[in-house]
Amino acid sequence: MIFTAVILAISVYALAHFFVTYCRLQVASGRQIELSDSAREATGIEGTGVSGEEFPRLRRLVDLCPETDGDGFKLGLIRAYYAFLGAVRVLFGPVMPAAAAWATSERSGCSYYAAVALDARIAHTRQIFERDFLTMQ
Amino acid sequence: MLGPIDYVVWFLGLGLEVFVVVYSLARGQFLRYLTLNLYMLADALWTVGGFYFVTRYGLSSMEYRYFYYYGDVLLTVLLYFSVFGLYQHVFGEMNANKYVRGASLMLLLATGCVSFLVVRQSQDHLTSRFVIQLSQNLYFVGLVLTYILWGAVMKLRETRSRVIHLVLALGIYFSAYSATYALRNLFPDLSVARTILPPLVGAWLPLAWACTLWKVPEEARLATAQLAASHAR
Repeated sequence: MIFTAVILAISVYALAHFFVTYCRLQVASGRQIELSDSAREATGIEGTGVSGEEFPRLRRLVDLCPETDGDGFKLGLIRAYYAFLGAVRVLFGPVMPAAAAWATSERSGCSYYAAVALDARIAHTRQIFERDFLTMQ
Repeated sequence: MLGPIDYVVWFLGLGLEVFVVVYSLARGQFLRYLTLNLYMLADALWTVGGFYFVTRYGLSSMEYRYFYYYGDVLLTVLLYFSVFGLYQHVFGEMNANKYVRGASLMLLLATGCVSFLVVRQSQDHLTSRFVIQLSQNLYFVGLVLTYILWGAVMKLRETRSRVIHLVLALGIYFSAYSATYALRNLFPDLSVARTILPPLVGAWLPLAWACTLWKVPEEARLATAQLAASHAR
């Protein structure tokens, strides 16, 4: 029984560790991509920093565009990560300010990732429009 | 009784497993990720076999249970080879492949011996509780192996984005399954650990690997130092 409880504790810790690292990898990959002017115009983002609080709004904008190259899986993952970070901030923020600061920085990365996804979807939608509608005229 | 969502998750997993193998074949990467592809192929066959047993004997039949749990144990051992395949990718440039092969052979023998001893000792009560405990231990060994591999990835500053993705997805899979089986062991009546979590976790690995092979190019690079630094922050 104790052995199983130890396995459970270690597994949950490892799961959280791998999950956070996997999501961090996605966020880090997103940060390497420069936002286009049209995405900046659509989202109202200026400069390189995006507030973490922008994430829900950006997610709603992303949902308005058709899915591009099966990005739904990773966006779902980032959404789960964002919720996880929110829980970290609420639970550990009052006692561990460093954890709250880390969660805030990561949530900002999530917002940027959503903006990058929106950018890709806008570009894809534009391509579809140009291919299917403009050529018909 | 299986519901529509169970069938959707089931066929989604099967489709993704087939996708991984076909995509690797089409891209000429089947041999490059041989152990991963063999695992996906075996997993797809196991899924089809599971469907056959459910339709022929029923979900609560002993035939299906034996097929499910003992097939799962064999697949987990096969997945160890995928872990060692990734070890070979990570240690490939250090010419340490013969050591990795030796270690994988030793692990296989050790797993075989321990499993044989455990089964021989418990052959008069090969209950579902026993197989749950065995699966929990096997997944935990897989988790430890993946954790060591992740340590090597960070230590050696592995930059191949695809390898990093594959290792992390495997880590999530092993730790989630290990936790699920431990939960089932501790709380046998907890239905979420029996009905909802296993198919979801089972679909994770083919989904994450399919996504990685499809979306992350072989030549993509990412500094692991970036991840380490952000962790330290």
